[in-house]
Amino acid sequence: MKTVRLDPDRRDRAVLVSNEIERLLSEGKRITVTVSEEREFLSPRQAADRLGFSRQHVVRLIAAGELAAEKLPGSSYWLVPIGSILEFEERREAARARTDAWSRSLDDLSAPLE
Amino acid sequence: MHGHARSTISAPRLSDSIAPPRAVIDSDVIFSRVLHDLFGRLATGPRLFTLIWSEELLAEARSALVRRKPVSVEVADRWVGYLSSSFPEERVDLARDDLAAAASPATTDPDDAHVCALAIAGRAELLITADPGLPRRRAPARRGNGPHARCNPHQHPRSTRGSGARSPRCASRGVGRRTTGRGASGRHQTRRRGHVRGADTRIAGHLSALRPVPDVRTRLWALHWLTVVVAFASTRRLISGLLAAASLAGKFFHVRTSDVFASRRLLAG
Repeated sequence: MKTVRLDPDRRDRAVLVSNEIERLLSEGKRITVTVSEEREFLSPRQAADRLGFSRQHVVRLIAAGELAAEKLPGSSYWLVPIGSILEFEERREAARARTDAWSRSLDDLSAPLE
Repeated sequence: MHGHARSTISAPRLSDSIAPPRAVIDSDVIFSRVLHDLFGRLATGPRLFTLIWSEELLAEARSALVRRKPVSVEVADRWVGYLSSSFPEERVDLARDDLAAAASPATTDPDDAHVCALAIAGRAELLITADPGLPRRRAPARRGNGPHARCNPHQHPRSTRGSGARSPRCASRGVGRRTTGRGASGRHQTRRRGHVRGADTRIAGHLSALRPVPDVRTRLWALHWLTVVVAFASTRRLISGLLAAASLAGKFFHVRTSDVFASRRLLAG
């Protein structure tokens, strides 16, 4: 699954989407394209499902400022914009890549696992 | 509506700012590449905790690696460089005072002083170690009149080592034997001797909030091998293997986040 974030300043990146659609279709694959506004809101439960966390952990991440979310005035329910979930996923992916690179570089130096 | 049983420990409010707990991994955890990788991923991925470190900790791990594993200095540098590159903001500079302050109440082993000092100075809530000599249990919650610190109540006879003959604790042998040798009576004794009154308030406060993990030695060992097995059994699915082990880690290490986050209230209070 690929996620492409677009904003009015970077319209040209829309080409990436159509290219990817073309590529998959030409391989004879069935695809699903979901388009959402970044300010579309999810509940903490939905955010948790998406991130693979428990709802409580999502609420903790919100409280810790790791996941941007907002409340409507007078409401006690969090609203998590899709954009902040994507940002969190990007950070998580970058961290994973860093750790993988570290582990691979140790492999290359033939460091023992044990 | 009224008359429901009410918990005396309320959950943290959403309005409280609760950062992921700060954790110290001891040099014996760094020494094991599998555990180092695992805790690194838990910290950077789902942000279960934030790892803090000091130059002293890295230096100790580096020298242990060079001494006890067939690795060069270059490899050891790369090995211990993970913490400093992943958490550049979390370096804790230990002053001489910090080391001295941690030395007496927190541990009897002068070589462990820097780990305790790091945990205290860095306001850590978790200390992940396989060393039974480090503070083991959380102190009872502070109640009004003065600090009650549980500072190294656990004077394990075998954990007193000479400063020269120090070995990475994760790698020492006879783990199971040691742990089974410590029975309920020993634990009871620990409990009786556990309070150090009149200790420095700052240390007492932080140590009471510090949550060392009970009987971590066997559990750490079991997790270690479990992770190795999982990792090797499905090399391609290394990460999911680690994450599966991580969910077990929650049980093994008592890093149940609810506990951890509840314990922050001690710090705040």
